[in-house]
Amino acid sequence: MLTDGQTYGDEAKCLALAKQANEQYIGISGLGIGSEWNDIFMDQLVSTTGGSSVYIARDEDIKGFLEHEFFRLYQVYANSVCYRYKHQPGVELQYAFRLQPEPARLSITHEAGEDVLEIGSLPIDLPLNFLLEFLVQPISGEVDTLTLMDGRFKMSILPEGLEDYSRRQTLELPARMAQAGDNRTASVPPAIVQALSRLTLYRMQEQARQDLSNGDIPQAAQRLKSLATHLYAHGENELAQTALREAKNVQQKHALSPTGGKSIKYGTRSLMLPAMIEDRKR
Amino acid sequence: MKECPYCHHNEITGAFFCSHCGSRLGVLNKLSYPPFVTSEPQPLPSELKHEPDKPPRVALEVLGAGKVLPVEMEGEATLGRYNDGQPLIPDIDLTPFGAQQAGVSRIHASIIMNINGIALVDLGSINGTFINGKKIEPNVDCPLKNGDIVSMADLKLQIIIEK
Repeated sequence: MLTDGQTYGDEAKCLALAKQANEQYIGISGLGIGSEWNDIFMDQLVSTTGGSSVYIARDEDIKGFLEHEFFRLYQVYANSVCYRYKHQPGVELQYAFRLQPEPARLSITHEAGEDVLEIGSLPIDLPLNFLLEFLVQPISGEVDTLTLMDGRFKMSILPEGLEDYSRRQTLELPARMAQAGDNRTASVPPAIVQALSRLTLYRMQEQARQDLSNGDIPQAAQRLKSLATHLYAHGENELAQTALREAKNVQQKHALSPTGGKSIKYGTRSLMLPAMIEDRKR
Repeated sequence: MKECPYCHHNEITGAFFCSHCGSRLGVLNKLSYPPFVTSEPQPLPSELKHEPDKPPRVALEVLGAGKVLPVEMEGEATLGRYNDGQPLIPDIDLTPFGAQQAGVSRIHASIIMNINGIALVDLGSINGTFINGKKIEPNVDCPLKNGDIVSMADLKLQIIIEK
């Protein structure tokens, strides 16, 4: 979808159409051009189908994006991948973010007594990676295994003629290892640590926007300055300068500039592209 | 809850990074499981008799400058450089030793104490961290011993650990 992202009071209709498209195995990826489009609404719209949005600041970048997008469509094995699960007592999925094939925050909706995590498409040759953040309440000592998620992956695998393929999958945590005083530790793969480090930067800009909408100007400005420090430390000087400029904008005008806000959002998100993480590892 | 050592924001147990200032919270390549269970296990008799070891004293010698910097080991000490207005200040500021020219990042690395002893963690610095010439992986704690040479980009430091 090539759009300026502006709606005229028909957001609900747009979202309903996107949902309908998703039910027919049609994914939507958005390409926002210029600086005035509504990126928040666009993200909401495309995440309904597991798609992602891209910010194009310059006209000459459109061709490259479309080539990439068409190539990506050739690489799709399954469409409309989602995970439908029943809510587990004491466990709350707070945040979900897809790292690969395209970084994007995943939407979690509630439908017919189940929670639904819209994941997007499954590529042929690439893994599908996403990070999930759970908030787990204290559990009793008798529990051996804590079930975080119990549900089914559902997807459409058209090359195999499977329109409504489904497979049960549970995610469990060995609760015994979690008892107080247990000194056992487990290694966290460096790739996950790296991804978390990048995701923190993306979430800081999300929170700065939230601070702004709550009217907490000093907090938003401070968060953008802290973000700039981390970006400088990661060698992302241009993005860091943008974050500092936006901190100033927030202090003076109580708002992000349309271009700067998008640059920070999509810039921090692109840091999570696998190639970026691999580059840093080298 | 877990308190961020930099901005003192309270994070939920299990968080890896501070949601407020983005700083790393503790050692990341060892996942310590949160205390889900409220009852504390009874200590073993051997644990009751055990007296904790005194923590080793750690210092850094800036090679070429002949300056020795003591490291206050309250869990973690960050190394980096400082520019005016920078909201996150490293515990050990290497700016006076030409850190900027040497390519040291603002928050470059940290020295931590874990169950195995003293370790160094690169915090995703742009020009990397080396121990005795060998580059270390970012966000992974690498053991340090007395006399090790640590290079943060082009700035060289020697580790002094006194037990």
